[in-house]
Amino acid sequence: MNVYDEAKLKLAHLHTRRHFLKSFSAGLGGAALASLGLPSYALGANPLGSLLGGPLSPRPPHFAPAAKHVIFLHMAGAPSQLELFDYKPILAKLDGQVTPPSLLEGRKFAFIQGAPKMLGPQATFKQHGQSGAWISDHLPYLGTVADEISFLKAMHTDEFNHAPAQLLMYTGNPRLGRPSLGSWAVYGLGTENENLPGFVVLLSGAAGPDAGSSVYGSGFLPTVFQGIQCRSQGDPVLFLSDPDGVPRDMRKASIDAITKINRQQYEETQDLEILTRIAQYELAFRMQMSVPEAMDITSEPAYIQEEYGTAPGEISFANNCLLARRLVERGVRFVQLFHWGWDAHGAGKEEALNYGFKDRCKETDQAITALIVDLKRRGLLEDTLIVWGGEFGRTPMLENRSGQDNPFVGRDHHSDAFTMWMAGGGVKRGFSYGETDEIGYEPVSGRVHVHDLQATILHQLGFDHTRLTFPYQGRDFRLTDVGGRVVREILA
Amino acid sequence: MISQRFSRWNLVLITILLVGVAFLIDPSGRSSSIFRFFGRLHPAMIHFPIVFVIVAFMGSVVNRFTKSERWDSLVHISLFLACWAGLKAVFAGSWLSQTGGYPSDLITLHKWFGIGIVWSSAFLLVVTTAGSGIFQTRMVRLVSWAAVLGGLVVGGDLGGQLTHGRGFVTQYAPAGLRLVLEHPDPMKTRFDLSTPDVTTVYDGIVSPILMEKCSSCHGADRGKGSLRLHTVEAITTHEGDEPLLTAGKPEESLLIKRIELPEGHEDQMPPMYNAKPISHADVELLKWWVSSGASFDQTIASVEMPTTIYTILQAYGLGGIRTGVFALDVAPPDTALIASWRQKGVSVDVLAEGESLLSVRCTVVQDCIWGPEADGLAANVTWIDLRNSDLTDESMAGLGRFPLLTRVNVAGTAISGSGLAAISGHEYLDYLNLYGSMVDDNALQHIELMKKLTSLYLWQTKVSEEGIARLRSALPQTEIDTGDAK
Repeated sequence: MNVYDEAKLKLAHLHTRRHFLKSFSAGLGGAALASLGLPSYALGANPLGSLLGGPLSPRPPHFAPAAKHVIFLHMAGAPSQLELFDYKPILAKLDGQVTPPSLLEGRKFAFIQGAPKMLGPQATFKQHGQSGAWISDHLPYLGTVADEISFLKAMHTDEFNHAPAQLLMYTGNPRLGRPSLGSWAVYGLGTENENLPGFVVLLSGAAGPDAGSSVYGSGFLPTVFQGIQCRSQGDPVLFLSDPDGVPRDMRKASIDAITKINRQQYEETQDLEILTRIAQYELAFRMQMSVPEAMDITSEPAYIQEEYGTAPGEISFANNCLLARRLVERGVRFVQLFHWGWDAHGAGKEEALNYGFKDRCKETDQAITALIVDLKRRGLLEDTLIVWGGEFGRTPMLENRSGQDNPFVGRDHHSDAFTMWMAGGGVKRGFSYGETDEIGYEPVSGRVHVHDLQATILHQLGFDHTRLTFPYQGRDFRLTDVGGRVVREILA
Repeated sequence: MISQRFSRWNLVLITILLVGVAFLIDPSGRSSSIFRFFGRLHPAMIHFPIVFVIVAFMGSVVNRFTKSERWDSLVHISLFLACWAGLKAVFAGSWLSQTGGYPSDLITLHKWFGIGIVWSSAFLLVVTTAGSGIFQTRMVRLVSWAAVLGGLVVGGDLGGQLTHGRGFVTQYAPAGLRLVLEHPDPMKTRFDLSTPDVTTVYDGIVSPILMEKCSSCHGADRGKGSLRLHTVEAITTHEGDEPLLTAGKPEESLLIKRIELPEGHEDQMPPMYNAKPISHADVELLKWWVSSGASFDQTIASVEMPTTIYTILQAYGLGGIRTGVFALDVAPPDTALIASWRQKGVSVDVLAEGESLLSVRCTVVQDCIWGPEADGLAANVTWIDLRNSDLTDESMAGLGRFPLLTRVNVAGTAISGSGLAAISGHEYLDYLNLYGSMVDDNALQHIELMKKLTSLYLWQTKVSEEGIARLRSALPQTEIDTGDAK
């Protein structure tokens, strides 16, 4: 069969009775509505309808936003709140005592078995700033900006293993398949800079997040909303540069041709994934010029490099913090950082509170502080929300897997109580919300669930989290599932 | 086939039976299990009369168009079957309603619609079989058909709401259609929260509660215990042994104390047996009003609102509280101008759905500040971002035409300061970013006038330390960021 015949056959397939009825009835309904003189937004009430103008074009949120950008600093592996922010002097007194059974009854831990010993704080704490926030000496830099931060001291989650807890944190569900926080944000808002992705992911540390790229995937949203991983070493985005022997103008011509064909195909099938494909080809082409510029931190002056503690040309968290600022400055909506290696069980040197954990603090403290200061003096912190945290917390008990003398100290996963913090983006400054009991084991007030955190982040971006939905498999889905409460107490 | 005489006797019989249903089946009673079984068939049964009515209607339409009487028998038999099938459904429905659990206002309405439809069908049968006389007039025919068909639609919708909840049909209707069709949500109409910056707490929230829960005994008609709560005067002029309201102290206010008495106490208000109970949320709202001063003229927006109160009011439809430029009545922006502005490379974002205010960003300021689009939309722009643009002191003069600016970002531009004169008188200006620009101490005379400013960014500018000190004393409310680590 030659190409022409094949095309004719394909066309005939598309003009089946069912297809005709479908497109006919939709068109008729639209025309009828339009003739009723209804406002145009009534026609766009279908969330898919608003994507047709270009999935990345800017869209207004539900209400005027407090934040236009989010930088989420995820400490993958879950840092211990008891060594950083949740100061528990009584826990120090209980150090070495066997945990009473009343604290263990009905509990399930990832690793702890039997009756573990209590473990006092492995850090010295001091109060910082006018707000008097307790921050440990592991984070000497962060203490200087304590008055910019709102702490959430009674966070809790439903999952006590890394991958499901990370999925819950980013997709609102511990299993695979849902869109991530950044994808929801870009789906809702579109992008501000058409030459850069709306949602950028920067990884550092020895490994990526345990749950893999699903924590920044687009799930059932059109794939144009997925997080794009940029690298501070080598090509910033993989597979972005032109193939050998293909000059840029030829690339342009071929993308234009492909777009035309794709448009035709879209008109025939109305498949949204085709619009996504078109947008991605075009974005990739524009990104060839804009991404290398945005990702080039060597153009920053020496004092900035020094403040952040960057290591140009290498993979480092500090580089990523500086990149985050550069991306936000250029209009990227959502920058997601993952820094791996906080899973301090004490089963080895790298994952011990007295070794690897301290290194992680050193790797991140200076850069995070520099990021806050740098955004602030540029006037960007007001509309950039920084979120810091892990996927869960750590137990007040010592985890000693081997049961023998162990030079390494560690804590097990703990889902009931942990600390996260936010800064900028319309949250209170120098504030702390929520409290845990005397040993940091259970929240006693101001509990904030992961869904509440998500609702709050979306709220700052201008969304009612119950209305930011996407129809999939017969029902409207949302990030916060059936939960979520905006933590108004921390909003400025 | 069906004679006029037959159909009249039919109408009489149907009427008697319907009266029987309406008055003999007590909706609050309990039916025996066989009736309950029959009652639960109601959702299935109602479809039979609907089908018969539709068949009858189609038959008479065909008759009309073919100008014949060929389908008359079909019409008559269908209507006859419709009214008896409908009567069966009414009986079933009445027994079903006795099983309880349905909102009483809806079910009463639904029941009367059902009865009305059945009676109208029987009446319609009389009309269609009538040879001559009053029943034969076109008007009577039309009205009877309209009553049956319209009744079916509305009655059916009410039934849908009973089974699936209010708003079931309209939930996914397009917004415009929804406005026409939707029944007002009682949660959205109980309090007046649409303009929290104008409406007082008393008018919007407290008075509706007092009217609903208290005024049947303590109102215009009755003043039990010589207490009336229906007007501001009645409340403020009340004299009693104990103060009715003590501003700031709900625990010393009789109004609250009586409501909070333990269940069964003889002074408990509202009294247990002859008044509507008051909800916990209402009590919280009243206490909030008293503890914030029991004022009659404080607006909802001006009173500090704890999270619990906010949560309650949000359920009653309180949107975001609007202040500053958001409280203004700004005309919607011209969408054609927005489109042509975008064509020229200016980024224009509507701040939020249904909002008239715009956020604008550009690097070439000519079109952004001076073009015809800027002329047409100047009164809508509230955020302007001219970071690293080619802005000069001269071109900045154009910002004087943007009266509602709240955020102005001119970081990294070449302005030296005189251009700031254009925005120094802006009433709502709250954020000014001059970081990395060329401004020096000459700019201070203009900045000093911006009394509403909450944040000012001066990192990497030529403003001197003395200048900063001068600004700090002139603008004590403003947070001035010079980039120095504190």
